[in-house]
Amino acid sequence: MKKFFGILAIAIAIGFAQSASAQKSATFNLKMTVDKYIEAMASPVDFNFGTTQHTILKAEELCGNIGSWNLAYANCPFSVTISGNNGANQGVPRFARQETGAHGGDWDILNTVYDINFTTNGVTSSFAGFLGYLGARDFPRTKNYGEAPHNGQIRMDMKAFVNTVANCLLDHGISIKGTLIDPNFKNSDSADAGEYTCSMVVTLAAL
Amino acid sequence: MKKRMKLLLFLVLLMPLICCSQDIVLSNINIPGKTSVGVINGAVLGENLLGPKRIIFVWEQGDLQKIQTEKKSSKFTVETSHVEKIPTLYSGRIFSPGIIEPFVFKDKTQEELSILEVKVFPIRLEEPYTLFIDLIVQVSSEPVKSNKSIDAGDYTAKISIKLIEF
Repeated sequence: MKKFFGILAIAIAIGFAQSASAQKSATFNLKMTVDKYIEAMASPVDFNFGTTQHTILKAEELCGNIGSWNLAYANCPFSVTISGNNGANQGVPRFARQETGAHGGDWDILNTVYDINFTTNGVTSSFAGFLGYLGARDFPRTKNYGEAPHNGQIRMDMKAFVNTVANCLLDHGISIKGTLIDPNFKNSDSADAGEYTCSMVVTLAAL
Repeated sequence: MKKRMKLLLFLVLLMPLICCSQDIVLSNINIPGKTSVGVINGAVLGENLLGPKRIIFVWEQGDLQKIQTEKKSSKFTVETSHVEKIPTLYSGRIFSPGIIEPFVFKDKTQEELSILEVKVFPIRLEEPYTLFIDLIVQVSSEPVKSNKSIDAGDYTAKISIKLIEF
């Protein structure tokens, strides 16, 4: 016990000696936090993919224009969710148009397939992953981007394939509207000429 | 008993060292383009000092920064890291009331402070004095439009201010 108090006394003496021997420097540990922040471009955006062309496969097909947008700023990893709807209220971004005229009223609904890509940090990646393309039936769909865009920039580009025979299986269940002379055709077997629309919502969230 | 003795010895010996380190937490940047400031007033640089002193700024990290490590895996995992820095400006004054003329610095970068020749001369050479510092640390992030970005996260820096006899 005596030994203990002896050592303790020496330790205290050394401690006081250090304190008294003038503090000669000060260290400052600085810390601050940059919050996660995402800002999306102004919307809604109107984009026209173009007009169909008649093909030898007897269909009006559209391999649409490519739309490209500086979609958002984000300083953190993020997720993208794409959803959509159409006039027929199908809950997916599939092109549709209501037939007009005295004998109309039904919806002409077109097989719709998308090629959507996001570019961050100079790398472009498909929203569909290894599939490459997505049928309208695959929406809503979410994909996570685990690395923050270090310059903050997120670019999105998109192309639509509408009523195309080559890709139609990706939006299966929606038949290709042919341009055939066939008395058995129902209203829904033919796509009336005109403008077809749908809406798409792209939502970004911080991870 | 031996363990308690060792612990006491450790605490008593380290106490003066622990007391010298001070934390400054700057306000968060929650919107790009915002400025963040941290202030510490009247921090003690040295006590019971005698005679003139030279002051140097020693940096472990001058600009607030964070090291980001990311794992990328395909067939095998690759770990990459990079340092994200926010330009940091320092302002403040070193003073001892009634003993020395305050030394004031404003909006200095790490590099600018490193080359500053700061010397303090007490009015009364034989009288012990205490040297204080007021330190203001300021960082600004880029607004969204500038096409530059500061990644979200915690940023840190460490400065030591040392007094040297001359």
